[in-house]
Amino acid sequence: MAIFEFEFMRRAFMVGIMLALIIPCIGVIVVLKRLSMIGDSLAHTSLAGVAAGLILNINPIAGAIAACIAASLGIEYIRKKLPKFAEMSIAITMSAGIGLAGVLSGFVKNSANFNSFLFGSIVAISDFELRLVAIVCAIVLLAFVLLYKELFFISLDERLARLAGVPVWAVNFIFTILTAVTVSVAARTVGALIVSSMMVIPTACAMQLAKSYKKTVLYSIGFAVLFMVSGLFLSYYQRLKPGATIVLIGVVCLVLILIVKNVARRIKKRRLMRKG
Amino acid sequence: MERLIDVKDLSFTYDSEPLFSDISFSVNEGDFTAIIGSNGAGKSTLMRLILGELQPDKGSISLFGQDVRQFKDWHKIGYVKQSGLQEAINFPATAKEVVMANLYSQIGKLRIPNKEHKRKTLEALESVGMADFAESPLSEMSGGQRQRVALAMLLAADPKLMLLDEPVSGVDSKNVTALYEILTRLNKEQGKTILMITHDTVRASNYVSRMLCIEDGCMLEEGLGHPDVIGHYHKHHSLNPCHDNCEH
Repeated sequence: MAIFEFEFMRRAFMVGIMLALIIPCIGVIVVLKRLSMIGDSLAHTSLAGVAAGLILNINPIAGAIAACIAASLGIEYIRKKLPKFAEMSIAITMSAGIGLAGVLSGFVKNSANFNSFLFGSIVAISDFELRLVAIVCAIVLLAFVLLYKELFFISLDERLARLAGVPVWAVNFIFTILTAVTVSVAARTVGALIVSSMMVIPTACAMQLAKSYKKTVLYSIGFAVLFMVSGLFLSYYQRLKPGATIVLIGVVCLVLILIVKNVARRIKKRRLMRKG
Repeated sequence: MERLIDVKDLSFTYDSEPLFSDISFSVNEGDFTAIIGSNGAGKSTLMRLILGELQPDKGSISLFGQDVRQFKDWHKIGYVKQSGLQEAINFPATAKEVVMANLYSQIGKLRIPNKEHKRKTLEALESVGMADFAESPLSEMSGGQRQRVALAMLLAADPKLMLLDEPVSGVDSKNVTALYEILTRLNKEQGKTILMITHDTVRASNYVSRMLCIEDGCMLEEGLGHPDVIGHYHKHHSLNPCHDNCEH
């Protein structure tokens, strides 16, 4: 296929599929813990880290990772202090992140580099970024498999998990770091403004169809890979922005699933009424 | 007979208001005890104190002879919270997945469940009459069925002591009776010790062996048979079941 003749597209597919494998793993837990907006909050905060990195002349991805880790620990801290208003912790951190990113971006000399983090640049992946995504992908997948039952139980009920002996604090801490690192790396490739949707939409689609937790995880990964691959193809042939195309395909798919489910439910109801 | 819970001179203040003071009671092995009292009397707070989630102002709580602050054998205790699994109505998980989660201490860290764990899961679901729903998602169950799954979750871990915070709230009348019958069977046939918070005084009195009443900051009727407590409950109306006996 012509699309694969280009090295940058082959890299885009490699990085895209690796991210599509790990973002839903984080996304499922985030959605089930009712912290869907955490990706958005961290992605915005990562911009502050990117700006700080560019100003201090250090790798902007390292800056993004540091900012994301600080923000996610901040979210976890506020969530513990205000357990009944968990979502407020995200709003507070996001406000702080946007404010900081806004102020710091004024001092960045190369604004083009900063802007590439807003919408990502999946078709301009460097060797370093490819290696970084591969390492992060391996770590996140390994951690997700090893902590599968712990993450499931904590998402279901943190209190019961603690009573059953799950090391809740340690698992939450590891998950927080993994989320921060995943968001930072994904922000560089698919864009800070889009990474949150990549976490939530595949999970939302999966939850419409799956009847178990295991299937929800597998379907989420399946949907994410589907959106990523079809988004890259479509964006290449139609000359669209890849990150935005990937997300829009996900949104269209979710809307279609909801419509089909609704129609199927009505048909089933009518049949039952006729029988009754 | 082993004393599984021993509460001595316990006092707790919530938002600068004393919730209860100097309450003492114990739960022995084999007891099926109900704690009754009006809303806000401190029943659920007492449960949280027993679970070590809150620190008392004064007094002590011992579990299996150990101070709750040093207690480590949480696998001996099963807990069903006030809302059970009702909050998990949209959680994408099957009954089997949820019940197996509570086998965590038996499965161990970073390990996967084996055949024995799967057998225990199915047995627990069977004991609450939910074996046919093992692969059903929580979202497709009624409130009563989710409550049974919450009980199965607890039973799978095979605890000696079961702490239940309003296990029949939000469950329809028919299923309430079924749940009480399951609890009675567990108590009588399997020797499970049960401490249950309930508002359902009348029906609960047909099943429990003992009733404690918490009201106006003190614990009453300890050691009395349940008919006495029920008498008080009805005499003084459900909003304040036993206030005239309170010394505070």
